[in-house]
Amino acid sequence: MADKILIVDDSVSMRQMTNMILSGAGYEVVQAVDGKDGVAKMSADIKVVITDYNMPNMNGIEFIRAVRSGTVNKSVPILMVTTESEDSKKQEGKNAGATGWITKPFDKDTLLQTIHKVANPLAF
Amino acid sequence: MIRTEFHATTTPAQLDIEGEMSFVHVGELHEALLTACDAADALVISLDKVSGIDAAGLQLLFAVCRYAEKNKKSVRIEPGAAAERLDRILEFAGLTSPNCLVGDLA
Amino acid sequence: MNELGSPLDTFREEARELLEQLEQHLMQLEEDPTDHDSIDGAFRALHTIKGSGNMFDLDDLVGFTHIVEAVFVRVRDGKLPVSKDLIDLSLQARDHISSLLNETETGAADNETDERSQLLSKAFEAYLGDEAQSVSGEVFETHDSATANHSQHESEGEFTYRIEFTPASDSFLTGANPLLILNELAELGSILKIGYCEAIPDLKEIEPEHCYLRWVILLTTDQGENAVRDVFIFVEGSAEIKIDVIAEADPLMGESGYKRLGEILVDRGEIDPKDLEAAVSSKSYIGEVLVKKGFVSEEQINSALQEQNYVRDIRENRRTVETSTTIKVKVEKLDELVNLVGEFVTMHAGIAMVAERKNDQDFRAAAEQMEGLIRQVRDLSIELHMVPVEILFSGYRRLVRDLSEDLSKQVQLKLEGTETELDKNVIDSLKDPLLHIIRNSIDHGIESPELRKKKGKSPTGTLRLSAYYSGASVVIQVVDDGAGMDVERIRQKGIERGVIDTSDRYSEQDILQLIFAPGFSTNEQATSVSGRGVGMDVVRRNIEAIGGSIRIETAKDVGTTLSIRIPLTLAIVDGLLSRIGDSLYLINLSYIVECLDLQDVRKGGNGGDMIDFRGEIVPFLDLRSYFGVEGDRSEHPQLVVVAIEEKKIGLVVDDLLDKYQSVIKSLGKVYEQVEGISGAIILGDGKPALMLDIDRLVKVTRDEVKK
Repeated sequence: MADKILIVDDSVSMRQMTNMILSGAGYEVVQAVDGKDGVAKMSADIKVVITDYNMPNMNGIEFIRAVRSGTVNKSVPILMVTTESEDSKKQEGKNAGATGWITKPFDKDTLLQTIHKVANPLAF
Repeated sequence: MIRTEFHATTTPAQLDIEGEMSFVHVGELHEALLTACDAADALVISLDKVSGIDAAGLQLLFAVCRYAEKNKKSVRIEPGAAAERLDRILEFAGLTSPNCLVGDLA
Repeated sequence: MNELGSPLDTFREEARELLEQLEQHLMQLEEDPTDHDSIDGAFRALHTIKGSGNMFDLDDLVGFTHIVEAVFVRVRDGKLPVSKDLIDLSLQARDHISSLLNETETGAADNETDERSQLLSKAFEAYLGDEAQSVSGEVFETHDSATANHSQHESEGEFTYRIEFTPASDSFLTGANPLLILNELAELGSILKIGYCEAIPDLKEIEPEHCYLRWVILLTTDQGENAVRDVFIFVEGSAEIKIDVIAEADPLMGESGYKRLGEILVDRGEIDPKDLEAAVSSKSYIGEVLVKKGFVSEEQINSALQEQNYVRDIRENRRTVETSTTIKVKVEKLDELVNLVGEFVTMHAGIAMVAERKNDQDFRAAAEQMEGLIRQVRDLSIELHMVPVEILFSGYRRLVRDLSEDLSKQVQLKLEGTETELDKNVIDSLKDPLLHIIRNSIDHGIESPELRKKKGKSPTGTLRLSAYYSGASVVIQVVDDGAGMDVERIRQKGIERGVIDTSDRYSEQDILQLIFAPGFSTNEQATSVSGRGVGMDVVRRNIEAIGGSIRIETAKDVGTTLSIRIPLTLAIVDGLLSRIGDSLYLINLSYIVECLDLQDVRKGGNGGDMIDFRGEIVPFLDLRSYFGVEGDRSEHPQLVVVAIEEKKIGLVVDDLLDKYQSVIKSLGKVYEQVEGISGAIILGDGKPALMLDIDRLVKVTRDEVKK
């Protein structure tokens, strides 16, 4: 069964683009339009979450906090996507419990490598 | 998924762990282990049906051994069919096995 | 929502919707300039357009939107109030973004929009105040990824790092599995992981979701420290990470040995140096003492021991690798390889010819690609077959010593350029000729100590063997500081023997070359060493057989220099194939200066046998008449200018065909007598071609001119 990845982004083109890259790499993609939708679509079998920072309703930081303090798959690796390259945003994300980050714009290889970096294929 | 079954009446008492000893389940597992350790002076923990183990799960086994030593309890961890699994994670993490673990690890 | 179109189409559709929203928010702000929801909404719309646009490399759109967004960041942060002017300007910006968006569809970027971008940007920048500089100057980071930046400060060679890694206690919860980091490190090189579990509390006290593990990792890698640090990029700031270099690959560092156990512990800060000293003084096994005294735990000692062993293993591994970088190969095998490559070259030439004839593009392209590969294989196999002349030269030490003793002479042997490499076969062929020359130099050249003293020279003579590269050749010189040759005496002898006449048309070099004639010896008193002139004719024949030439320079009482010029390799030549009548000739490419149309060249000289080559008067040789080829001349004869040591001549041929690489086959008997031909080759289509002996042709032509 393909690994599931949850994309949380309010931009439909971003979701479509990321979806294309990930589906092409053999992942199964679940899409959410904002943080709230992301929390609703969170499930135990999701391997990695990629979330945008700026979103209406519930932004990336709030979304990460919600997952980490929730009960469903709360330790899932979460990558925060941000256009801001400032450290403050990364730090804010990390403090909220993000596993890592990826800076927009990114290319296919960067995205896949970064996912590989945090995805947990180690099974003992 | 994790399931524990505690046989308090046998001597020694036995705790069977089934499923994944992973971070997601460490809370549950911790409680089960603590209950079992406190309920018996001699305990066998069987990992025979463990289907996965991660660093968080592994830490608990070390904690069990430490607890037993401290409270002079006889606790044995029997890896059973999970021996290879356990061996791999220990080797990967560069750790030596917890000292109350019995049986052959390659 | 159209999920079926291309992502770029989706983006345009989305951006148009966002621009629609932006307009709504701006209208709302016109009514209520403090409406936070509208400020946030406007900002987010701009932000998303910029962010997504960036993914599609829409630079103009992104660049412009970025500046507008920056102004709205100030508005959002309360640094800038919403004014009527700003709203007006923002609405214009909205329309402009819309036209930029249309441009991405039509692909037409016109100057007008560019100008408008600049105009509006300036207006927005005015709202940025001090921040303008930093915002417009901000570089859009393209791929600031976790894995980039590898190339900086990369270091050569292998290093062993000791990495102390203590993950944050909440690392399990944040999805940062420390084992993944170990895994990533392992991908960089060879690794020793030492895990510490001492911090794990007992079952009662443990917070099961916390991480209590830590590691000391020894990593040997050829990647730089940055690559190692990159592995930790997501946990930096939360985890404790310490990276030290503990072993360098630098051979100059020597094998200073592995650190003592105690040193490792001090390095890691696990023991106070004073405690260590105290323990050392007690003289029993250090690890035991340290544990007994409670300075360090057993786990720490074991870990330090593992580190010590690891470094030792890495060192030993490296030594093994170093010693195994050269292998011995039997010379015969190399010979066979060079021969096979030669055959390969010939075979390919055949294929290339067929490809050419069939005029098949694909076939020709394949043949060309193959040529490139063959050339590489050829060069490599030739390289494998090269050996330094030191092997040759140092073999003469004994000879010089013994010979000078026998002849009661004092001779000092000097070797120069011993690192110069030559084809093994050439070296072998040179062995005997050089032996003869050296013998002659010591026997006839270098005087007895008494005579030398009388001449005011040092009683010890010097014999110098030197080798150096000169173009596609190697020159080997035997230089003595002896009596020199008596040119007049050699001339007389030549006349006596009827080899030359009494006229003065012979140059000094011509006369000196006489000593290579069979049975020619100037020394009436033949000695036991060099015999009666036996050898020098053999010397020349041997050298010419390997495509070489020999020259003599001499001065009375100053000494004699014999220079042997030999091609770098025997096996294969790059040549230019030319045609005279029905015959084909190969001219070694390394001698060719230029090829010209004979018609374009101005002739001059007495008998019209000279040409004007770039202002230089150069003699030329019509090969057709030289080789006595019959038949009609070509209408467009070609001139090939060749040069040996700056001495140029022109060679006239009917036609130039193609470049050609070939193995030189030994000459058949038929050609042995023909002066100016040094070998024969078989072309790809089975036809023979003759290899021109340029050295000889240059000499013949220039001598002819002198006469």
